[in-house]
Amino acid sequence: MQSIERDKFDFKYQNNKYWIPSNKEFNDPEEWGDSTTGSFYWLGEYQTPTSVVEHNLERKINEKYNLLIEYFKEELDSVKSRFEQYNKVVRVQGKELNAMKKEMNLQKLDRIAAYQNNWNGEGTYKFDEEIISKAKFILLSTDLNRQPKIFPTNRNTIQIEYEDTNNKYLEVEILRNKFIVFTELYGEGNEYEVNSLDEVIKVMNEF
Amino acid sequence: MSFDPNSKIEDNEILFRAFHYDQWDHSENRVTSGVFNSSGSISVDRDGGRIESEIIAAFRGRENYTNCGLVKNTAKFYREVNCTLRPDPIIPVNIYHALVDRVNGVGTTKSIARNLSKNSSLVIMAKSK
Repeated sequence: MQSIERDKFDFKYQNNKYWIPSNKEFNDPEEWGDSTTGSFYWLGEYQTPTSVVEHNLERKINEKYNLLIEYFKEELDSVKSRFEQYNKVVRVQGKELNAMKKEMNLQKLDRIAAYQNNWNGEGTYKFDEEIISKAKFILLSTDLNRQPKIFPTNRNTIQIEYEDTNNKYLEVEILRNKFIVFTELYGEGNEYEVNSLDEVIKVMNEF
Repeated sequence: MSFDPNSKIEDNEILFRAFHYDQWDHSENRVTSGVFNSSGSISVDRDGGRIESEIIAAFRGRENYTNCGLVKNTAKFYREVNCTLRPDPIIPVNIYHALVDRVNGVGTTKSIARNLSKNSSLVIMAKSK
Protein backbone atom coordinates (compact mmCIF):
# COMPACT_ATOMS: atom_id res chain seq x y z
CA MET A 1 0.00 0.00 0.00
CA GLN A 2 1.24 3.47 -0.94
CA SER A 3 0.54 6.51 1.21
CA ILE A 4 0.59 10.18 0.19
CA GLU A 5 0.31 13.35 2.25
CA ARG A 6 -1.81 16.09 0.68
CA ASP A 7 -3.58 19.01 2.34
CA LYS A 8 -3.05 17.47 5.76
CA PHE A 9 -4.89 14.34 4.71
CA ASP A 10 -3.37 10.98 4.58
CA PHE A 11 -4.53 9.25 1.42
CA LYS A 12 -4.22 5.58 1.14
CA TYR A 13 -3.95 3.73 -2.10
CA GLN A 14 -5.32 0.26 -2.20
CA ASN A 15 -6.95 -1.88 -4.85
CA ASN A 16 -6.46 0.82 -7.52
CA LYS A 17 -8.36 3.42 -5.45
CA TYR A 18 -7.51 6.32 -3.14
CA TRP A 19 -9.27 6.55 0.14
CA ILE A 20 -9.06 8.56 3.37
CA PRO A 21 -8.97 6.64 6.55
CA SER A 22 -11.22 8.58 8.85
CA ASN A 23 -11.99 8.17 12.50
CA LYS A 24 -14.71 10.68 12.16
CA GLU A 25 -18.28 10.01 11.16
CA PHE A 26 -20.30 12.64 9.37
CA ASN A 27 -24.01 12.52 9.63
CA ASP A 28 -24.71 15.93 8.21
CA PRO A 29 -23.59 16.30 4.54
CA GLU A 30 -22.81 19.99 5.31
CA GLU A 31 -20.02 18.77 7.52
CA TRP A 32 -18.43 16.98 4.62
CA GLY A 33 -16.81 20.21 3.70
CA ASP A 34 -16.75 22.43 0.70
CA SER A 35 -15.34 21.00 -2.46
CA THR A 36 -13.83 24.37 -3.24
CA THR A 37 -11.92 24.83 0.00
CA GLY A 38 -9.60 21.92 -0.29
CA SER A 39 -11.31 19.70 2.23
CA PHE A 40 -11.44 16.13 1.12
CA TYR A 41 -13.98 14.56 3.44
CA TRP A 42 -16.42 14.42 0.56
CA LEU A 43 -13.96 12.43 -1.50
CA GLY A 44 -15.92 9.62 -3.01
CA GLU A 45 -15.08 6.16 -3.96
CA TYR A 46 -14.31 6.96 -7.60
CA GLN A 47 -12.59 10.28 -7.02
CA THR A 48 -8.85 10.58 -6.79
CA PRO A 49 -6.89 13.42 -5.10
CA THR A 50 -5.67 14.33 -8.61
CA SER A 51 -9.21 15.02 -9.79
CA VAL A 52 -9.83 17.20 -6.73
CA VAL A 53 -6.68 19.22 -7.33
CA GLU A 54 -7.65 19.62 -10.97
CA HIS A 55 -11.09 20.77 -9.93
CA ASN A 56 -9.66 23.40 -7.59
CA LEU A 57 -7.20 24.50 -10.22
CA GLU A 58 -9.98 24.86 -12.77
CA ARG A 59 -12.05 26.89 -10.31
CA LYS A 60 -9.12 29.22 -9.67
CA ILE A 61 -8.50 29.60 -13.40
CA ASN A 62 -12.18 30.40 -13.90
CA GLU A 63 -12.04 33.04 -11.19
CA LYS A 64 -8.97 34.65 -12.78
CA TYR A 65 -10.57 34.38 -16.21
CA ASN A 66 -13.72 36.11 -14.96
CA LEU A 67 -11.62 38.85 -13.38
CA LEU A 68 -9.77 39.31 -16.68
CA ILE A 69 -13.06 39.47 -18.59
CA GLU A 70 -14.31 42.15 -16.19
CA TYR A 71 -11.05 44.07 -16.59
CA PHE A 72 -11.22 43.93 -20.40
CA LYS A 73 -14.87 44.96 -20.38
CA GLU A 74 -13.98 48.05 -18.34
CA GLU A 75 -11.01 48.80 -20.60
CA LEU A 76 -13.16 48.40 -23.69
CA ASP A 77 -15.79 50.79 -22.29
CA SER A 78 -13.08 53.29 -21.49
CA VAL A 79 -11.54 52.98 -25.01
CA LYS A 80 -15.01 53.31 -26.58
CA SER A 81 -15.69 56.45 -24.60
CA ARG A 82 -12.30 57.97 -25.53
CA PHE A 83 -12.84 56.99 -29.18
CA GLU A 84 -16.20 58.77 -29.21
CA GLN A 85 -14.61 61.87 -27.74
CA TYR A 86 -11.79 61.86 -30.33
CA ASN A 87 -14.27 61.17 -33.08
CA LYS A 88 -16.27 64.20 -32.03
CA VAL A 89 -13.12 66.35 -32.06
CA VAL A 90 -12.10 64.98 -35.48
CA ARG A 91 -15.57 65.71 -36.88
CA VAL A 92 -15.48 69.29 -35.61
CA GLN A 93 -11.93 69.81 -36.88
CA GLY A 94 -12.83 68.17 -40.21
CA LYS A 95 -15.70 70.62 -40.64
CA GLU A 96 -13.44 73.56 -39.78
CA LEU A 97 -10.76 72.32 -42.19
CA ASN A 98 -13.33 71.86 -44.94
CA ALA A 99 -14.62 75.41 -44.34
CA MET A 100 -11.06 76.74 -44.60
CA LYS A 101 -10.44 74.75 -47.80
CA LYS A 102 -13.68 76.07 -49.27
CA GLU A 103 -12.63 79.65 -48.50
CA MET A 104 -9.20 79.07 -50.09
CA ASN A 105 -10.77 77.41 -53.15
CA LEU A 106 -13.16 80.30 -53.63
CA GLN A 107 -10.29 82.79 -53.37
CA LYS A 108 -8.32 80.79 -55.94
CA LEU A 109 -11.33 80.65 -58.23
CA ASP A 110 -11.66 84.45 -57.99
CA ARG A 111 -7.99 84.74 -58.99
CA ILE A 112 -8.53 82.39 -61.95
CA ALA A 113 -11.60 84.36 -63.01
CA ALA A 114 -9.43 87.48 -63.09
CA TYR A 115 -6.77 85.95 -65.40
CA GLN A 116 -6.29 87.82 -68.65
CA ASN A 117 -5.37 86.39 -72.07
CA ASN A 118 -1.92 84.75 -72.11
CA TRP A 119 -2.07 84.11 -68.35
CA ASN A 120 0.28 81.17 -68.92
CA GLY A 121 1.91 82.16 -72.17
CA GLU A 122 0.57 82.00 -75.66
CA GLY A 123 -2.57 79.98 -76.28
CA THR A 124 -4.07 80.59 -72.85
CA TYR A 125 -7.10 82.83 -72.59
CA LYS A 126 -9.37 84.55 -70.13
CA PHE A 127 -11.68 81.99 -68.52
CA ASP A 128 -15.25 81.57 -69.67
CA GLU A 129 -17.72 82.84 -67.05
CA GLU A 130 -19.86 79.74 -67.50
CA ILE A 131 -16.93 77.53 -66.43
CA ILE A 132 -16.18 79.71 -63.40
CA SER A 133 -19.81 79.70 -62.39
CA LYS A 134 -20.04 75.88 -62.63
CA ALA A 135 -16.91 75.50 -60.53
CA LYS A 136 -18.33 77.89 -57.93
CA PHE A 137 -21.60 75.94 -57.84
CA ILE A 138 -19.69 72.73 -57.03
CA LEU A 139 -17.53 74.33 -54.35
CA LEU A 140 -20.52 75.97 -52.67
CA SER A 141 -22.81 72.95 -52.90
CA THR A 142 -24.03 71.83 -49.48
CA ASP A 143 -24.31 68.31 -50.91
CA LEU A 144 -20.56 68.09 -51.44
CA ASN A 145 -18.94 66.01 -48.68
CA ARG A 146 -15.44 67.47 -48.88
CA GLN A 147 -13.63 70.20 -50.74
CA PRO A 148 -11.45 69.16 -53.69
CA LYS A 149 -8.27 70.79 -55.01
CA ILE A 150 -8.86 73.10 -57.94
CA PHE A 151 -6.51 74.07 -60.76
CA PRO A 152 -6.65 76.01 -64.02
CA THR A 153 -5.65 73.95 -67.06
CA ASN A 154 -3.74 75.14 -70.09
CA ARG A 155 -6.84 74.71 -72.22
CA ASN A 156 -8.72 77.27 -70.10
CA THR A 157 -10.85 74.82 -68.17
CA ILE A 158 -11.01 74.19 -64.44
CA GLN A 159 -9.83 70.88 -63.08
CA ILE A 160 -10.96 69.62 -59.68
CA GLU A 161 -9.13 66.76 -58.05
CA TYR A 162 -9.19 64.32 -55.17
CA GLU A 163 -6.01 62.39 -54.60
CA ASP A 164 -5.81 59.71 -51.92
CA THR A 165 -2.59 58.35 -50.57
CA ASN A 166 -3.83 54.89 -51.46
CA ASN A 167 -3.32 55.13 -55.25
CA LYS A 168 -6.79 56.55 -55.84
CA TYR A 169 -7.29 59.62 -57.99
CA LEU A 170 -10.34 61.46 -59.28
CA GLU A 171 -10.23 64.34 -61.70
CA VAL A 172 -13.20 66.30 -63.05
CA GLU A 173 -12.56 68.78 -65.81
CA ILE A 174 -15.19 71.48 -66.12
CA LEU A 175 -15.80 72.47 -69.71
CA ARG A 176 -18.43 74.88 -70.97
CA ASN A 177 -21.00 72.24 -71.95
CA LYS A 178 -19.87 69.04 -70.19
CA PHE A 179 -17.63 67.49 -67.55
CA ILE A 180 -14.88 64.96 -68.20
CA VAL A 181 -14.28 62.55 -65.36
CA PHE A 182 -10.99 60.70 -65.10
CA THR A 183 -10.35 58.14 -62.39
CA GLU A 184 -7.21 56.21 -61.64
CA LEU A 185 -7.35 53.26 -59.30
CA TYR A 186 -4.08 51.45 -58.66
CA GLY A 187 -2.67 52.65 -61.98
CA GLU A 188 -5.78 51.77 -64.02
CA GLY A 189 -7.23 54.84 -65.76
CA ASN A 190 -10.84 55.38 -66.80
CA GLU A 191 -12.30 58.38 -68.61
CA TYR A 192 -15.95 59.29 -69.23
CA GLU A 193 -18.25 62.26 -69.60
CA VAL A 194 -21.11 63.46 -67.43
CA ASN A 195 -23.50 66.24 -68.28
CA SER A 196 -25.04 67.61 -65.11
CA LEU A 197 -23.68 69.27 -61.98
CA ASP A 198 -25.71 66.89 -59.79
CA GLU A 199 -24.00 63.91 -61.44
CA VAL A 200 -20.59 65.51 -60.87
CA ILE A 201 -21.27 65.99 -57.16
CA LYS A 202 -22.54 62.41 -56.93
CA VAL A 203 -19.34 61.11 -58.57
CA MET A 204 -17.21 63.21 -56.22
CA ASN A 205 -19.06 62.03 -53.11
CA GLU A 206 -18.82 58.40 -54.19
CA PHE A 207 -15.04 58.64 -54.55
CA MET B 1 28.62 73.91 -80.08
CA SER B 2 25.91 74.87 -82.54
CA PHE B 3 22.32 73.67 -82.23
CA ASP B 4 20.30 72.63 -85.22
CA PRO B 5 16.69 73.68 -84.49
CA ASN B 6 15.33 71.14 -86.94
CA SER B 7 17.36 68.18 -85.70
CA LYS B 8 15.56 65.05 -84.54
CA ILE B 9 14.78 65.12 -80.81
CA GLU B 10 16.99 62.53 -79.16
CA ASP B 11 15.85 60.43 -76.18
CA ASN B 12 18.42 61.98 -73.87
CA GLU B 13 17.24 65.54 -74.51
CA ILE B 14 15.43 67.39 -71.73
CA LEU B 15 12.14 69.10 -72.53
CA PHE B 16 10.92 72.08 -70.49
CA ARG B 17 7.32 73.11 -69.92
CA ALA B 18 6.08 76.35 -68.32
CA PHE B 19 3.44 76.49 -65.58
CA HIS B 20 1.53 79.10 -63.63
CA TYR B 21 1.77 79.41 -59.83
CA ASP B 22 -1.86 78.28 -59.39
CA GLN B 23 -1.02 75.05 -61.20
CA TRP B 24 1.33 73.88 -58.50
CA ASP B 25 -0.12 71.18 -56.25
CA HIS B 26 1.36 72.01 -52.85
CA SER B 27 0.13 68.83 -51.20
CA GLU B 28 1.73 66.56 -53.83
CA ASN B 29 4.68 68.87 -54.44
CA ARG B 30 4.35 68.78 -58.20
CA VAL B 31 2.39 70.38 -61.02
CA THR B 32 -1.21 69.42 -61.70
CA SER B 33 -1.83 67.29 -64.77
CA GLY B 34 -3.70 70.33 -66.12
CA VAL B 35 -0.29 71.69 -67.18
CA PHE B 36 -0.06 68.89 -69.76
CA ASN B 37 -3.77 68.76 -70.53
CA SER B 38 -4.28 70.01 -74.03
CA SER B 39 -6.60 69.61 -77.00
CA GLY B 40 -3.89 71.00 -79.26
CA SER B 41 -0.21 70.10 -79.43
CA ILE B 42 1.81 70.81 -76.28
CA SER B 43 4.59 73.36 -76.50
CA VAL B 44 7.91 72.52 -74.90
CA ASP B 45 11.43 73.87 -75.17
CA ARG B 46 14.41 71.63 -75.91
CA ASP B 47 17.50 72.11 -73.80
CA GLY B 48 19.64 72.49 -76.93
CA GLY B 49 22.81 72.00 -74.95
CA ARG B 50 22.12 75.01 -72.70
CA ILE B 51 22.51 75.08 -68.93
CA GLU B 52 19.34 75.46 -66.82
CA SER B 53 19.99 79.05 -65.74
CA GLU B 54 20.16 80.04 -69.42
CA ILE B 55 16.92 78.20 -70.14
CA ILE B 56 15.13 79.88 -67.20
CA ALA B 57 16.39 83.30 -68.27
CA ALA B 58 15.26 82.66 -71.84
CA PHE B 59 11.77 81.60 -70.73
CA ARG B 60 11.26 84.47 -68.33
CA GLY B 61 12.67 86.96 -70.78
CA ARG B 62 9.76 86.27 -73.12
CA GLU B 63 6.54 88.23 -73.00
CA ASN B 64 3.81 86.56 -70.85
CA TYR B 65 6.27 84.17 -69.21
CA THR B 66 7.81 86.58 -66.70
CA ASN B 67 6.41 84.78 -63.65
CA CYS B 68 6.24 81.25 -64.99
CA GLY B 69 7.71 78.19 -63.33
CA LEU B 70 9.38 75.38 -65.25
CA VAL B 71 9.21 71.60 -65.06
CA LYS B 72 11.19 69.12 -67.11
CA ASN B 73 10.94 65.57 -68.46
CA THR B 74 13.23 63.62 -70.73
CA ALA B 75 12.29 63.11 -74.36
CA LYS B 76 12.58 59.38 -73.64
CA PHE B 77 9.85 59.59 -71.02
CA TYR B 78 7.52 61.44 -73.38
CA ARG B 79 7.99 58.60 -75.85
CA GLU B 80 7.44 55.98 -73.12
CA VAL B 81 3.99 57.44 -72.44
CA ASN B 82 3.11 57.21 -76.15
CA CYS B 83 3.88 60.72 -77.29
CA THR B 84 5.48 61.85 -80.51
CA LEU B 85 7.91 64.75 -80.55
CA ARG B 86 8.75 67.09 -83.36
CA PRO B 87 10.93 70.17 -83.61
CA ASP B 88 8.95 73.36 -84.24
CA PRO B 89 11.43 76.22 -84.09
CA ILE B 90 9.93 79.70 -84.07
CA ILE B 91 12.61 81.66 -85.84
CA PRO B 92 14.06 83.91 -84.60
CA VAL B 93 12.09 84.11 -81.30
CA ASN B 94 12.53 80.57 -80.02
CA ILE B 95 14.64 78.11 -81.96
CA TYR B 96 14.29 75.51 -79.16
CA HIS B 97 10.51 75.20 -79.50
CA ALA B 98 9.09 71.70 -80.05
CA LEU B 99 5.61 70.15 -80.11
CA VAL B 100 4.26 67.07 -78.37
CA ASP B 101 1.24 65.01 -79.42
CA ARG B 102 -0.13 61.62 -78.54
CA VAL B 103 0.58 58.80 -80.96
CA ASN B 104 -2.03 58.89 -83.78
CA GLY B 105 -3.65 62.04 -82.44
CA VAL B 106 -3.33 65.67 -81.47
CA GLY B 107 -2.70 66.85 -77.93
CA THR B 108 -2.61 64.55 -74.93
CA THR B 109 -5.02 62.26 -73.12
CA LYS B 110 -5.74 62.65 -69.40
CA SER B 111 -3.74 59.55 -68.68
CA ILE B 112 -0.68 60.89 -70.53
CA ALA B 113 -1.05 64.28 -68.83
CA ARG B 114 -1.15 62.64 -65.41
CA ASN B 115 1.91 60.50 -66.15
CA LEU B 116 3.83 63.54 -67.33
CA SER B 117 2.89 65.59 -64.27
CA LYS B 118 3.75 62.78 -61.85
CA ASN B 119 7.15 62.25 -63.43
CA SER B 120 8.17 65.84 -64.06
CA SER B 121 10.90 67.51 -62.04
CA LEU B 122 10.75 71.08 -60.87
CA VAL B 123 13.33 73.38 -62.43
CA ILE B 124 12.11 76.65 -60.96
CA MET B 125 8.97 77.55 -59.04
CA ALA B 126 6.52 80.02 -60.53
CA LYS B 127 6.22 83.42 -58.90
CA SER B 128 3.01 83.97 -56.95
CA LYS B 129 2.90 87.68 -57.98
